[in-house]
Amino acid sequence: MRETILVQKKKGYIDFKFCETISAGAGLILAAETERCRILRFRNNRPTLTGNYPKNPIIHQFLGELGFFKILDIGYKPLSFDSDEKSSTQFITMRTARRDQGQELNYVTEVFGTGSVQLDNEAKVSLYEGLLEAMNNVTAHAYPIKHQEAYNWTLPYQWWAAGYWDRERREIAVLIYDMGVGIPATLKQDGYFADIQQRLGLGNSDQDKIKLAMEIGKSRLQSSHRGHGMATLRHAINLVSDGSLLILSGMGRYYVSNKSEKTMALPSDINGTFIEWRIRDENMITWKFNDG
Amino acid sequence: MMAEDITIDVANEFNRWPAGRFRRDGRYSGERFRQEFLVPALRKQGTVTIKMDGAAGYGPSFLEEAFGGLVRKEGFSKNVLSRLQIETSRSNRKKLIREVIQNASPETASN
Repeated sequence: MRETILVQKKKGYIDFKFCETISAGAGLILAAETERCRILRFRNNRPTLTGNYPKNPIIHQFLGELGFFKILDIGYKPLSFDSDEKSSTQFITMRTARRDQGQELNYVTEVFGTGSVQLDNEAKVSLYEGLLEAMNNVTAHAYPIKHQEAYNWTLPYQWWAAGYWDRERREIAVLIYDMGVGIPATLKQDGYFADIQQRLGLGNSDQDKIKLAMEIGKSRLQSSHRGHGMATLRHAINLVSDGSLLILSGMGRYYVSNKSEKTMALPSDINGTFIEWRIRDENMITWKFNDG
Repeated sequence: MMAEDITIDVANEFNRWPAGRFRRDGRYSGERFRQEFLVPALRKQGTVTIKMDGAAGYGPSFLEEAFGGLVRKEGFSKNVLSRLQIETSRSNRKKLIREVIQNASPETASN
């Protein structure tokens, strides 16, 4: 999409006809890219990117709840389901804004304080504060002026956030994405960082740099360095017995749960930063549905 | 000047969704909170009580700029901690505020 619509300035069409599955994260990233293309590229006063409705009712429901059809400026009417294929997942409509907009961001986690699915308040606040830190990193680091000047397809300081709960898996999640330069590209390479990098045996791959940012967040607070608040991203996971944090940035993947920490290289650049928190703790989440 | 004790309720007097470090980051940033609320209150020499629980949450950047900025930018010593009463149900928030003040150093024009 980026290459066709933004770089080559051609028309594009998103065809969902054969789409059978899509993850929440992929949906959020697709929605963000679609929104950017439709904001930045017009022909005859119409966006050059359009699309059709999915035939798969679960994907139709997911994209509708996420707010994807609103981006395409078309309506959303849920399709009828066969009883055995109804989705157990409810998505929280995507929010997007520029810079630090706490009220917009809070919408994503506040859903878990008042509705059918209630998360323990301390975990909910920790999730929100993790999102706040991610949002502040977008404002402070993700879109450097040089990057904005080099590419005429950036939406500076923009972020997209969403969430969901799944009744069958007894899982809730919140996600945030930006289309900036990524954590590895903005990590400062000073002596302090180099010392920790050497001590932990980390290299210069993107996944190692994400891990380094998380480690630095654990060990110090300093205003002038990115990473001082990265540890905040982990607080919500530390509070629960079953939770995980996933960060995709540049070409790196970092995953931490209550049981393990893993890094790996991505096959291609994600062109930004994607962060997802998942919580599956029965003691922390109250499900208020008739079927239990 | 007579010392005057002041209470600041962040959610009611500032905003329920404070966010961001600098004013350019957003309307309810740590820098703005420090300049418009904390500094004027602390200049009155008494104890300043900050009620924090009504707000949705606080990012570390907001807290560092609001409280660490007292030492870094406003000329207060680290002893300013003794005049701050932080009312919050979250123990790690109080700890973080203490840390950002203790780790801060006054900024000079060159840094």
